[in-house]
Formats: sequence, structure tokens, C-alpha cells
Amino acid sequence: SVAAGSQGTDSLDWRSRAAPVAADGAHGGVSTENWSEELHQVPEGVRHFLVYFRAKFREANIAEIHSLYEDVFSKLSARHYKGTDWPSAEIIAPLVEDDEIFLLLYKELFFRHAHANPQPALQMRLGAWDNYCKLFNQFLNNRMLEFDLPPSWLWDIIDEFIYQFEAWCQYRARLASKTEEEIEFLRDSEHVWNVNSVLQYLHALVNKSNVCPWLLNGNLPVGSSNPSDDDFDLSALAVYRYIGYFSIIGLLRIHCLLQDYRLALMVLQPLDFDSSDPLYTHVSACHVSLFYYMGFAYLMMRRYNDAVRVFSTTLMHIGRIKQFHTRSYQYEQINKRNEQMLALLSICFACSPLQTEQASPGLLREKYADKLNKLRSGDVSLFEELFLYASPKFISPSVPDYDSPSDSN
Amino acid sequence: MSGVEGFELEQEVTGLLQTRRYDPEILPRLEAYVAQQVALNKYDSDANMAVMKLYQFYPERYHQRTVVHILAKSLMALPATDFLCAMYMIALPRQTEHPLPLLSELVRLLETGMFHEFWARAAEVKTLRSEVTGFDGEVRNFMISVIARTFSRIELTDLAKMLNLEGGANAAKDFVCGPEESSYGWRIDPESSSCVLIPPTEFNSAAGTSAPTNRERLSFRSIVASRSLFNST
Repeated sequence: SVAAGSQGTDSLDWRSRAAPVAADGAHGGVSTENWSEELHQVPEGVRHFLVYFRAKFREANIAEIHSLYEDVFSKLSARHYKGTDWPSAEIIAPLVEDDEIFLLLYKELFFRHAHANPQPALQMRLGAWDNYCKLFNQFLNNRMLEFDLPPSWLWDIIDEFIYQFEAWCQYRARLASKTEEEIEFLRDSEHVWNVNSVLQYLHALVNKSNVCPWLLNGNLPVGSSNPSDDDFDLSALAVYRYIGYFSIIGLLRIHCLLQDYRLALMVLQPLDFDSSDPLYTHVSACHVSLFYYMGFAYLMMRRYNDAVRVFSTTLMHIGRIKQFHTRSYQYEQINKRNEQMLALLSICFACSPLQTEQASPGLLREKYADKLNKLRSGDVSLFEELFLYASPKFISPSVPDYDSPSDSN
Repeated sequence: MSGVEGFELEQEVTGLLQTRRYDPEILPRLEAYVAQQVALNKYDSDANMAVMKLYQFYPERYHQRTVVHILAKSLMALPATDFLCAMYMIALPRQTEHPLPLLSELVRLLETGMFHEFWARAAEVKTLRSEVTGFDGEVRNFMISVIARTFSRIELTDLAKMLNLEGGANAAKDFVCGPEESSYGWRIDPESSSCVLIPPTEFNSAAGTSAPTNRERLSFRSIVASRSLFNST
């Protein structure tokens, strides 16, 4: 089942240039005796992909992992698993010799794919939570030292973690459509996707990675870069540095979702905004997300000038990078944030007493000039409409009142 | 509470916020700290926002008296947006519980410069105002800062009404021109003893007509000083 790459640019053709995984056999010497029925049914292309993926992961081969993660996985998803789930970790485990850490990463992708469905099954939500806990514990227990993951994947892990937390809070708040059993279950499951645990994991990752001292030290580790030294500094390793850094931005987002804008801006203090190569520029989605939430926090604290500055610069930046991101998932996301920031920018202009429109001529004029005039003349319903469209999906951190079965939010 | 005990509580709270910010069990200590701020006219916005956050996470621990005190202290911190930030973390149903709507209204009146109306409505929370040490003083401080940006001179009787000072023009005179440390050092207008002059700043002075010309004139000294214009980076 070789991929029909007629144009020659089909990246499923990766196998022709892939280094052989093992000298013996197409499956890296893994015997097929203990294969389940389900495993035999998994398409051969997917099986090869998994074996190869795990091998590259073990080698810490960043370049290959990046292309497997960004390109091949989504192509295989689209080809074989559109609207269905990938095979469970139990099924494919023999292919990767029950590699514990690799399977946690595989499950991260597995559950992320399941959450593309707006209403994932409860089991999926629970499994995803459990998996994130295990995965983060690997980082926190120093089990990720010999591995490396591309920054885009590390960003997506944190981003998706928070997205699934949002989804859980919204799911939990919709009590009217739930059965008695479901409500009983929720009552007993306060530890699942618990807001405190979510916050604690993010804080723990920031602390573990030692990224704050790294940032304050001019983007250099404070301690030693040698793992065998006593004062070995984890921020010397890119994989820890990135997960810690992205967790800071994760905290910014969570505090915004919980309507604590002051704390949201406070957690950003260590960030390397003045550096010539800030880490947030390494992943476009991270860059856009950072400034979207930052600008929104400024707006909610009535720091209109700061919000305008942040939104304008980011919108101009997006205008420059859009052409490099026509691949589906990131492009849609960046486009959506672009539109939202335009809406927020017009709200800022309407609320700010100063004539700051000189800051970004042409940005607003095309799309929102009309709306800006209406806002300035006091059209409250337009404010509401734009605000509802452009603001993040707020969540309530408290447990819903299970005794009053109605939808809160 | 003695001075030493007060300082110890402050230290304790700082430590708690660093290590156990999201732990509801620290609430009793934080609530005591809020009471201390109220009694001693001190202010710690970070600790107060941490209390609001814990009430948001654990609504069963919501303690209205503490919330009202925090909101009153936040009002006293105007023009900082602390009041707004605190309100964001209060659930909508709770925001309608007395006296929260009144406090929101008082903030609105202060922010829109409706000072006479402010004092009229503030009569409804006389007890709170006397409970929270320094409340009226901080409000007057805020009002003065607004007046100083808007007026270059003002009638003393008007000033007295805006600041709700008993004793009319004389009280106002003592308040802004008096020799005490707490006064603002303003001067009586030499041309009209019923008015007081406010020190001119960029906010309360008319824009100079020579402004455009000033910009055109660049002194040689300022060009030499910004030598970076001639260096390539």
C-alpha cells in the first residue's frame, strides 16, 4: 500500500528516503505472533509510520520527528481516520515494543484527534486527562532528559491541554441534558480536569524547567549544561526550556479565561520581549496566541494604548507571515485570531480617549472603518456583538451546583 | 494589633501567596490581613485580589463582609483599576447583593467626575466609610488629582462642595493651602481672594500657540546629543 504520490510532493513518500529502522524485517524485528486481530487490520502504512516514528523519537532526531508530526500524521489522519479514532495505544503497543514514553506521546495525538469532534465521549475526556497527568509527570520526574521534541509539538501539547480543559468546563456546566448517573459521576470526579491541578501542572513545568532564571540570565542557563554535574540546569535542554516557556503563556491564557487579567499580565514579566530572538517567535501559533491574550488583558484593564500597540504590531506581523502557513490547521487558527484582533482593536479605538488611529492606518480602514463609526456613536449592541465574537471562551472555575440541574455559565 | 504583629502578618501573607496561593485554607489569614488593612489604612492589592480569586474558585467560602472591605479599599485606590478587576471575579448573581450595586455606582460617579452626586449617594454607606480608616481622605485625594488636571483656578466655595468639606470656603482653604503636610500647597489668587490657583501642568494649561514653531527649531546641542542618528547599527 505505497502512497500514490503522483505529484512527487506527497510526503507519504517519506518511506523511500527513510533510513532503515532495523536490519531484520520490515517491522524492526518485532515478531507478529502476539498481534491482535485489530492490529492486523491497521493499514500497513500506518503501522510503518508508527514504527518509524518511534525509532526517530528514540534517536531524538528532531528534523524527522518534526516532519512526521506536522505532515505525515495529519495526512494519515485524513486518509484513514477521518471521523473515526486512531487505533488505541493497547492495539498498537506491540509495534513499538510497549515503549512507555512513546505511547504517552502517541496517546496525546490520539486524544487530540478525538477532541477534534466537538462532543467527545466522556471516556475520551477522562483518558485524555489521565494521559496528560502521566505525560507531565515524565517531564517533572526528569524522564525526558535524553529526548527532544520539536517546539511546535511542545506548544501544541500545552495549547491542547488548555483547550481540553475549557471543553471539560463547558461540558460539566451543561447539567440540563445529563442523566442522574452522569451527574453522580461528576460529583465524585472533582479531581478530573480540576482547575487547581491544571494550574499546578503549569506552574510545576515552569519551575522544573528553570526557564525564568534562564530568561533573566540573558537566555543562558544559570547552572551547568552537563547532566552529570551537581548543579546541572535543566534549562540547558531545549525540550525543558520550551515546555516551561510555553507553560508561562499557558498561565496567561488560563488567567484570562478565569477573568483575572491582573495576574495574567503578572506571569508574563519574565518573558524575553526585548531579546533579538524571543522564544515565542519560534512557533507562529504561540506568537499570535501570546499577543492575543496579552492585548485582551490590557483591554479589560482599560489600558487601551497598550492594547492598541500589541494588536497593531501583531496584526502587521500576521500579514507578513500568512503566506508561509497555508497548511490547514495553523492557518485557520491564525486567521481567526486575526479577525478577532481587528474587532478588539476597533473596540479599543472607540473606547480610548486619544486619537491613536494614526498608529495603524489601513489596518482598520478596510474592514472595520464602518463598524468603528457606529461604535463611536454609541451603538451598544455592536459592542456586545464584537465583544462576544472576539473574546476568549471564559470559564467558571468553581464546581457547578449539581443539585440544580440547569445549564450554568 | 501592635505594630510588630501587623508586620508579622504582612510577612506571613507574602509567604503564603508565594507557596499556597490557590489553597483555600489560607483564607482565614488573608481575611485577617484585609481587616488589618482596613484598620490601619494600608493597602495590598495583590493579597486582596488573591482573596477574590479564592472566593471565585470556592464560592462556599465567599464572605461578603471581606468582599465589601476589599471593594472599598479598591475604590480608595482610584484611578487604579483594582475595583474593576475585583468585580470581574465576582459571580453575576452576587453582584446584585447590597451594597455592591451602590459601590459600583459610587465608582462610576467618581470616574465620571460627578462629585456632588457622589457625596449624596455616599451618605448611604456612612457606617462603611467610618469603618474603613481613611476612606474619605483617599476619596478627596483622588478628587483633588482630577480637579488639578481640569482647573487652573477654582472658587473655594465650589471646591468645598466638591470635597464635601464642612465649613465651606474656609475649610477648603485650609485643606489645599494650609501649612500642614497634608495640604497641597496651592495659593490664594492674588486677584480674587475667593479663588485659589492650581499649579499649572501640561493638563490644566492652554496649549501654547508657539508649539509648532518650537518643534521646527532643533538646537545643535540636541542633534549632537543624539549621535546615534549618524551611526549605523
